[in-house]
Amino acid sequence: MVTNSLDIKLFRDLKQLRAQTITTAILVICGVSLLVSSWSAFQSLRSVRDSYYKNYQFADIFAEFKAAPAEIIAKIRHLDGIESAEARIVMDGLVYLKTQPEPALARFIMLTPANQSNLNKLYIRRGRLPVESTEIEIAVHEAFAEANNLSLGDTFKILIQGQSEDAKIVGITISPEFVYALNPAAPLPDDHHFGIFWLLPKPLQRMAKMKDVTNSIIAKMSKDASTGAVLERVNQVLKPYGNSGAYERKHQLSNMFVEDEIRQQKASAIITPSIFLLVAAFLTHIILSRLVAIHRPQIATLKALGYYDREISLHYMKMILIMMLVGAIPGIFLGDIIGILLTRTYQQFFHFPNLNFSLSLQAAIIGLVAGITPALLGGWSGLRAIYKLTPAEAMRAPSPPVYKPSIIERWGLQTRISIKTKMVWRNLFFRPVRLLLSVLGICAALAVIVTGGSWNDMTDFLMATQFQRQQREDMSVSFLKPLPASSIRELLNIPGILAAEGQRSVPARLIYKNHKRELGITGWPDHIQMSRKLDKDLKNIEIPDNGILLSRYFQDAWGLKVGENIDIEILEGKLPVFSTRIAAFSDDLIGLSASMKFRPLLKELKEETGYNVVTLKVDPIKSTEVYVKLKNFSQIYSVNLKKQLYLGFQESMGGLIRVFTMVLIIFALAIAIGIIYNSVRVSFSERSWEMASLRILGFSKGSVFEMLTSEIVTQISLAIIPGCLAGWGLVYLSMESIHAETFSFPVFIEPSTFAMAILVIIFALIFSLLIMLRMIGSINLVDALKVRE
Amino acid sequence: MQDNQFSEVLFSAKQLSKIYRMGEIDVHALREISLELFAGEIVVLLGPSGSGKSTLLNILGGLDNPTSGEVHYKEHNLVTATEKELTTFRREHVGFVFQFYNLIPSLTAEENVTLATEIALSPISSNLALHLVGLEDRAHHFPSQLSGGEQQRIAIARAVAKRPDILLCDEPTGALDYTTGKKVLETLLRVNSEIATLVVIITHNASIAGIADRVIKMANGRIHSVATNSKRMSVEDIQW
Repeated sequence: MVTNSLDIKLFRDLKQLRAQTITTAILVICGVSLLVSSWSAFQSLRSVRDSYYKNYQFADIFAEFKAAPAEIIAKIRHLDGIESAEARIVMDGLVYLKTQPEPALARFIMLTPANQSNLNKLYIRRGRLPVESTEIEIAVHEAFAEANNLSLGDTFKILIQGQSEDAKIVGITISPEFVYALNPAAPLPDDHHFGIFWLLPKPLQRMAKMKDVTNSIIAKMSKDASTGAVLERVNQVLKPYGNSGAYERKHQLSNMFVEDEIRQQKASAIITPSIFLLVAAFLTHIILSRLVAIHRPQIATLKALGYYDREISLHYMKMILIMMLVGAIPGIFLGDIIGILLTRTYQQFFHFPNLNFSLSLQAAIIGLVAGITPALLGGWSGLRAIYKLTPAEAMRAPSPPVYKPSIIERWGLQTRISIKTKMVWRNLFFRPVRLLLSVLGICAALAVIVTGGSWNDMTDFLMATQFQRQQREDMSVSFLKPLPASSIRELLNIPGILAAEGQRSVPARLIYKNHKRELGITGWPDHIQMSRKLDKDLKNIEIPDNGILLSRYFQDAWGLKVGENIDIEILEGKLPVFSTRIAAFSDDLIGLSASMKFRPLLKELKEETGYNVVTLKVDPIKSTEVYVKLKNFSQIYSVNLKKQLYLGFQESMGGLIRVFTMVLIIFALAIAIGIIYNSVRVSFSERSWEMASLRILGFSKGSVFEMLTSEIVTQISLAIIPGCLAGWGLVYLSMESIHAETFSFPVFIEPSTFAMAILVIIFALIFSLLIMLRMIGSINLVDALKVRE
Repeated sequence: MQDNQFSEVLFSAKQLSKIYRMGEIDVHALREISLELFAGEIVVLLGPSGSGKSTLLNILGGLDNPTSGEVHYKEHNLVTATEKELTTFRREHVGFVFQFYNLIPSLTAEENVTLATEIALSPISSNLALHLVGLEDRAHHFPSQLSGGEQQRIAIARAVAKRPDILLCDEPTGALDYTTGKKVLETLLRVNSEIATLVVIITHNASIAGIADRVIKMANGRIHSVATNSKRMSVEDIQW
């Protein structure tokens, strides 16, 4: 159905429509690029995860327990549903690097010799795996090596169970078990101070004093085995050895983060692009309806010449198709670029052998289809007019559209309204669907800006709450061993330290039904001043005298209730196990927490005394001196300056959020200008005849301008409140999808953010009005009246 | 009543009526009209505005359907024809010339003609069509670069390029000055003599009636009179 002359007409018409084409194309570019980058990233992540897990034999079943004879593995291997299983030792300890004064937390994992190992295989980035040697050879996880600039051949001291020895790096590796290398007890990832290390059985068994003993089992299930049944069998075998319950891959920490990210990426490939593409579809609809109206005589001529309706429709559909392709194709390329940037951020957190972004053909096709289809649908509804138009009718001037008094007039207010206002209202309500869609479009723009701005607000709020209301100290000091209260009093002798409060923090495993989570439990003495636990309304929560105070996360994710009991395994010292009552939930913003009173915690630990964390108030002038002094204390494991934490946090989050906000604002501006400019443009061209008549009747340019302005301003006014509410809703929805274990953002939006959103809309309005002012100036009165519309 | 040279009946209409709804008012545009049109003749439909001439022309050209009555083009019943069949009919047999030319503004003169030749069964070349209206040198001009008369002649070229059996012209000189109007009429006569097309011209200008073989006068949606000119006048001889 290709007709050359029609195609020539098509391109010339498009040239005429270039402003509208560009504004629509920008929306399509935004939508398609977001869709393509997110979908490709989703696919890249998913496929790299699948192949990595498969090729490196990521285990299906995991179990950790106090200690069991190594022979136990034979029993596990014989269980129904188990294909292969390995026993190992996992032991936490410390690593002393020459480059940083405080030691880093280390998780040491026993490396089964290559010929015996099938599961959780290491991918060697550089160097080789440890072999038996006179010195201890060690493989370091890439994340830690990169953060601390470690290279092959570097040596450092490792401390396991109080025994310290030198180790030499022979390999820098990654493992499917630690794609996301997170210290389970820390609130935020900190690759400087937490790392994974692999070493051969002999040195680890010796240092951990665990010869012929295992405390961790990993297993692969045979095909078709039922996970629940297998877990039960494994638990049965391990029960006598202090097993806290075997778990499946789904609950493995690193995997949980990976899965979450994949899920979120998929969701973001759908939600935000939809907004842009729907707005683009709506714009296409008005542009095309308007075009068909302007082209009435041309369409009639084509019909009179003998062109079929479908040929004419196809002609206009081609026009939309090109308008959309102008957006969709660059959108795909931009998506590729965004995807690469996105993957770079992933590479900082996720350690895969080769996480490379590849623009997937599927994503490109989805992007293309998604970029075109809504607009074609929007355009199609605009094209129905072609079918309704009989050529003879089209040759005549259209009969005046059937206007009615607007709703407002029907309420009986007409006597007080000027003729001009009546014209404005009748025009607006003449096409209620279009009015509604325009208003919705402006709402979408507002909502997107509010979402963008809210990130800033919420991080500011988060920081202020966390670092000013919850952590009120200036410094916090962690000790290697618990110390008596007298040692704290000694700290007060250091000049510059104004106050000191001790706490006890122990690593523990919380267990409830099928759930388990490693987490630090803090024991709080009475009358503590420098730290606070807060509820949703930022009110102080007292630490309960009995029982435990947990993050709200456990209520939501585990279904825990106040009054229920939870099992706790302490992961240091005598490894005591106890059960305690949930006393309350706290609304923590960063990370998860578990808090008890100091005395009851000590009782459970079966210890007499001991603080291992001290928070300090420090004279700001002497802050540096105090810091240096504390660093030289032999018992001290780490000194944290709150200011540094604050800055570090701002550096990692702040930059990312600012970029994100900027991008959203630019995108929203594209929506706002797209809608407002086109709305102004269309309403002007629809009524240029009417405007010219008004001018001839003696109305000034100013009053004509005022009428058109009033229409768009009315639309914007109608959109402001619902738009801001929609923004709040969108923020609320995005918060729901945030990983609640890392951050729990309260929905908090500053009034200034709403003001900024409205300002952006006003900017788009002014921009569009300036263009309209120029158009009004250029109305040729005589020509305008000749146009047969 | 007819000359022997026009014996093949192209159109026959019986009891044609057309009622329009304009907004909320009924307009009786045609009231029970019957007539026959013959291949190769020039017919002028004369009447004041609102007399129903354009409505009749539109129905004959398959642009519109009557409210009641019958129209046949040769053996084709235009009343029962579907929208698609009417389009095919126009495509294959009818050329239109409109008062306001209705050129596509984004296409050049030649491209406007090609627009018609591309869908016609046995078109003449667009060059030849432009030659026929004497505007081959304006082929690459856009409508906005042409005078009214030139635009109308391009519109005629576009209409005749399909080699239509019928050329329906709605006030072809209505928007033109005297000299240009005459030029356009000459062009129509030339087309009629060179490709033997039935030419129907609507006008409210009685002077034009002289160039026709037959003159049908209309008023109030009815045929008032049908007159046969024993000898057609040349365009030079008519005055208005």
